[in-house]
Amino acid sequence: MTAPLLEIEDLAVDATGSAGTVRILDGVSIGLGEGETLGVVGESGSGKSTLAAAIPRLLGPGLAISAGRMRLAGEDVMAMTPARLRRMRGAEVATILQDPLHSLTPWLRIGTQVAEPAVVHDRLSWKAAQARALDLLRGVWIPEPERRLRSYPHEMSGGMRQRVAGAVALSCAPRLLIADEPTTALDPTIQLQYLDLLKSLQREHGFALILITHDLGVVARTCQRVGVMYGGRFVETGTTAEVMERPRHPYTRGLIASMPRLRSAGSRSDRLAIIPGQPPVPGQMPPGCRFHPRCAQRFEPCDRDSPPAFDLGGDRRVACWLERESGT
Amino acid sequence: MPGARFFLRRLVYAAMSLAILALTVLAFSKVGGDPVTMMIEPGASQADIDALRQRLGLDLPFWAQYLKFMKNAVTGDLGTSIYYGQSAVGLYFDRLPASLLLAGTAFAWSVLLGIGVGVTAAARPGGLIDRVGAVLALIGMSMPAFWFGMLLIMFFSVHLRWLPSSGSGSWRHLVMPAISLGWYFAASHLRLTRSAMLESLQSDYVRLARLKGMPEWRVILRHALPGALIPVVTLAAINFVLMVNAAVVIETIYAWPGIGRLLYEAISFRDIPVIQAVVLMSGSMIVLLNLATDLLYVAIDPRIRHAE
Amino acid sequence: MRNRFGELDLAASAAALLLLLFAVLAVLAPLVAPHDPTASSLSARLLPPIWSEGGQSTYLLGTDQLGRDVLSRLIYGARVSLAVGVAAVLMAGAIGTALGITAGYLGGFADQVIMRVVDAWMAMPSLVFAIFLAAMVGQSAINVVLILGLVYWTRYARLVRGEVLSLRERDFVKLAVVTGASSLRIMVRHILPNVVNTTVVLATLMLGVVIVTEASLSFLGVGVPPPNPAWGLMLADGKQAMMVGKWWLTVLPGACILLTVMSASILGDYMRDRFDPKGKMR
Repeated sequence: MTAPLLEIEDLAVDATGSAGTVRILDGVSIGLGEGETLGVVGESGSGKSTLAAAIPRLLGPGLAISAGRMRLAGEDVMAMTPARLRRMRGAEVATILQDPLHSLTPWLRIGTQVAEPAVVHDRLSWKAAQARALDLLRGVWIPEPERRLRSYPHEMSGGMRQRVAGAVALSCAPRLLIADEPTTALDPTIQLQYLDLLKSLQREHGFALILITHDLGVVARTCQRVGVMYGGRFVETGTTAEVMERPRHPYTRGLIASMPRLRSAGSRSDRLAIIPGQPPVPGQMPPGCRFHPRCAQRFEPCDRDSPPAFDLGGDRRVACWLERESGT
Repeated sequence: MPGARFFLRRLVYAAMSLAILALTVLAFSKVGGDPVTMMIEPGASQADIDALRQRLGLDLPFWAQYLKFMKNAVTGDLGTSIYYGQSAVGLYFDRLPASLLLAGTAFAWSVLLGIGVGVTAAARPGGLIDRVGAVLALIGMSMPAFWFGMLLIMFFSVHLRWLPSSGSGSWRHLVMPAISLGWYFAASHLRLTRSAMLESLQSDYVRLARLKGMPEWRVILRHALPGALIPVVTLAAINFVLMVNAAVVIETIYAWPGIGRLLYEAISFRDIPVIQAVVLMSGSMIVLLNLATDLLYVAIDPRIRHAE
Repeated sequence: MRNRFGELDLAASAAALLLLLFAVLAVLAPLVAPHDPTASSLSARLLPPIWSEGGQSTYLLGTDQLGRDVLSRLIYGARVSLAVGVAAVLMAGAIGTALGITAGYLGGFADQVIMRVVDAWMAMPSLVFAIFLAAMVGQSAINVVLILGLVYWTRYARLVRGEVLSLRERDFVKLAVVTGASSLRIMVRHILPNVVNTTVVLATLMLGVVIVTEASLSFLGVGVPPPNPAWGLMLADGKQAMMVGKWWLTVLPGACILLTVMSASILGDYMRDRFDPKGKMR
C-alpha cells in the first residue's frame, strides 16, 4: 500500500428510530493509499452505501457513527469541526451518487452546479469558476461543453449526467473520490464507457477511488483491491487478483460462483450456483457468524461466536473460522 | 412543447366549468322563490306584474332563461341591483379596488411570514421555531378569522384606542383587517412550505449539494427551496383570489367597503342580482386562475415540458 | 390513542377527550346547563363572569344583553354546532363518496359530468357559495346542514374518485367483474369498503372547517336562526356589547369554537397519520 490516505478502524454506525437502535455497520476496518482503487462489493443491505455516506460523515436522519476511528491523511475525521468537514467534502473527499437524474438539482444549470464547489472552496469568481467548469466538462468527454454549461439536467442523457457528476466531483481536485454504484442506473452499453472514464480521470488527476458496487465484474475490471461486505462488515479483503482467483470466504466463493463470466477456467458445471437464503436484516442478525445460516461449510463455532478478521499477511484478511482450522 | 391537445382540453374544461357555474347560480336562484314578488311595489296591478316578469325574461322556459343568462353574462351584464339600481357587475368592480387593497396587504404579510417561517422550521425540524410555528399555525387555521378580528378590535380599539374600529381611509384602518384576514392564510402557507421543504431536503440533489460541501444557506435557498415553492405558489395564488372574494365576515365587522361587504349588504336586502354577480365573478376568477396555473406549470417547470 | 409507532399521541388523546367532553355536554345539555338558554332576565343583564368584578355565582360565565346565562348558552350551543357539524359532514361524505365512486368506477360520461360539476362547484369559495344558498332558502338548522352538505361534498368526490381509479385495477375487482357481478354490486360491496378509511379521515379533517363555516353563516344572520344558542349567533350578539367592554360575550363563544376546531384538526391529523400514512391526501 502506498502512503495511507484513508484509515478506518472498527467503524460502527447505528440507526436510531422509534423502534430502538439498530447496528448497520459493525467493526468495519479498511485502509486506502494515495491513488489506489478499492472496490467495495456486497448485496443490497450489506451496508456498503452506509459506509460511503459515513466517510464524509454525511449520514441520513437517524444514522450516526457510534464507534471507531477514521483518519484522512493522518487527520482525525471524527474530531473535525463542522466548518472543517464542509471544506473536506467536495474539496478533499468527493462523491458521485447512483442516480444522476435525481442527484443533480433540476432547476440549476449544469454550469452553475459544476462551478459551485470552485466558488465555495477555492474562492474563485463565478466567471473563473465557469471557465474551470468548461475545462472539467471537456475532461469528462462531454461534447459541445459551452452549450452544455447552460443546459438543465433533464435535457441530457443518463450517461452524460453521470459524467457531469464526475466533473462536479473533480472540481476542486479531491484526493479521494467515492463512487456509490455509479453505473447501476446507466444503460449496460454505457457502463463500461463510464468506468473507463473514471480510470482515465484517475490516471490524470491521481485521486484515490472507492468504488461501491454489487457487481464483481466491475471490481475485476477497475479495482486493485477489493473488500467484500456482508451484514454490515467486511468478510474478506485483499488485492483483487488474490480474492478473485483464490477466494477464501464461503460468501466470496458463492458470489464468484454466481457470476457467469467469472467462473475459473475448467469449471465443469453449466449451472449458475446461487447462494441459498436471504441476506440478514439489521437488527435481526444471526448469532455468531452472520453468514452461517447460508454457509455450506459451517461447523461448530460458527453459530456461536463471530469470527474476527484473520490477518493472512499482505493486507489479506478473512473473517471466517475456517482460517483458524487451516492453521494459516 | 405539449401539443395543442393539452391546451385545448384545458380550455374546454374551463369553459364547461363556467357554463356549469352559471347554470348552478341560475338554478338555485329559482329555489329562492319568485323574484318578481320581491321587486314589485305594493298595489301593483296584475298587468304590471306580468310586464315586469316579461321584461326580466322570467316567463320563458328554463333553458331559454339559461341561454339568455349566459349571453348576458358573456357581455358582462348580470342584472341590475335591486337596492342600488345600478349594474350588478358595475357594483362588483366598484368595490373591487378596496378588496384588492385589503387582500393585497393580507397576502403580502401572509406569504412573507408563512414561507419564511416554513423554510426556517423545515431547516431545523423539531426546533423551537418549528414547534412554536406549528402551534400558531394550528391556531390560525382553527380560529374563525372574524373572531380574531373582534379580539383585535377589543384590544386595540376599545382598550388601547390606538386604531379605529371600523371603516377605511387611512393605513390605520387597514392594519387590523389585514392581520385578521391574513392569519389563516399565513398558517396555510407555513404548513405547505414546511412540508414541501422537508420533502425537498430529503432528496438526492440536496444530499449531493451537501456532499459538495456547500454552505447550508445555499443548500436550503438554491437547491432545496425552488422546487418546494412550486406547490406553494399555486396555493398562494388561489388564496389571494379567496382573500379578494371571500373576506365577507372580516369586511363586514370592519365595515371595509369591499366585495365581501357588498355580498353582506346584498343578502340583507335580498338583492339577488348582486348576490349572483358576486358568486359568478368569484367562481369565474378561480376557474380562470386554475386554467392559468395549469398552463403556466407546463411552461415553467422544465421537467414537465419534456414529460408531457 | 396510539400513533402508528405504538406510542401514545398526547395531542390526539387530549383532542379526542375534549371533543368527547363537548359531545357529552351537548347531549346532556338539559341536565348539565344551570339555566334555560333562552330565558331572559331583565335584572341580570350584562353580568361579567364570576371571577370579574360584579360577577355572580348564579351566572358563572356571565350574562348577555337579555340577561341570558352565557354558560348555558355555550353548552346548548355545543349541541347546535356539533349536531350541525357532524350532520353536515356525514351528508357531504355520503353524497361525495357515492358520486366519487360512481365517477371513478363507471368512468366515461358519468365521470366527465360529475367531475366538471365538482370543478365548477369547487371554484366557488365555500363561504360565498354557502351564503348564496342560504340567501335562497329559509333559515333553519336543517337548511344549514343541507347547504353545508352541498358546499362540501365535492372534496370527498375528488378524493374518492382518485382512489377508485386505482382500486379499479386491483385483482379482486377484476375477479368480481369476470364473475358477472353488476356494476352497482361491485361499487357497493367491493369498492366502497375500501374507500371508507379515506372518507373517515377526510370527514374528521373537514369537521373543523364545517363548524367555522356554520359559525360564519350564523354570525351573518343566514345560518342557524335565533333564538337557537349557536356560538356564531352569540358572537353576533356580542359585537355590540364588546364595543363597551363586555369582553366575555365575544371571547367565550369564540374560544369554544377555537377549541372544538383545534381538537377536530388534531384528531384529523392523527387519523391521517394512522390510516393514510402514505399521504394520499393533500
